[in-house]
Amino acid sequence: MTLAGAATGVAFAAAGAGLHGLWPDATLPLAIGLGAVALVYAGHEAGLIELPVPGRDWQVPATWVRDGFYRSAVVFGGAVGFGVFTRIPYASFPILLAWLVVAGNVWYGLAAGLIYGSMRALSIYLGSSRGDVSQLVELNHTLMAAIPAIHQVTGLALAAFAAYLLVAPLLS
Amino acid sequence: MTHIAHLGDTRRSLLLAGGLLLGLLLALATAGASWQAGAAGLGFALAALVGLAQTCSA
Repeated sequence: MTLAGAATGVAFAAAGAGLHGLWPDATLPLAIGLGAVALVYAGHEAGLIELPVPGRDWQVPATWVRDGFYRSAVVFGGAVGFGVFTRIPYASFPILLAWLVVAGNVWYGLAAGLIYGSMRALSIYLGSSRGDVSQLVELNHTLMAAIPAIHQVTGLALAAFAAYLLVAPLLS
Repeated sequence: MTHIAHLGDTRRSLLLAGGLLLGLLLALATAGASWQAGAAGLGFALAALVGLAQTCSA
């Protein structure tokens, strides 16, 4: 899952690097444009407005994860970890991918993808150290209870990102 | 009920305003430095938060 997240980050950043090759002066106007889009979507993340979030409702087919524990774990973790094939519940993720294209730096893409993938797999890492089912259920309840607060902090971070992209390039 | 909804809207607006203010302050604090590096730092924070939000949702 973590490696799949890294692959997504590298793929979008590499696409951005290609774009920079074709249009070297693209960074500044694209960053400010992305800042404007991020500002609107920060309102969506904060719950003030409703906007469509790009994504798909595809799910990993049950037949793909029937044969063997480790094979199924790799297939499921890989498919979900890419982040772009399954449902995207948070608008911040497409904005992040758009930023990787705008930045066009493969190392940024790798780092952002590894960070996203590691955090995306955190519940699995935490669950692997739980001994019995009741502990797993308790962990699941704890994580689910944290969703509203984390969503709000994510909205705040997206708003900060938007403001930074709109202002910082003009001050440098 | 309307009163509670109004309080919720106020909190959401404050959250948005707080985020915008934070970004503005960061931009001012790093003025003159590489804005791409600052944006990358914020992007990494966003990546961590989105991943964390999704791990809690799944």
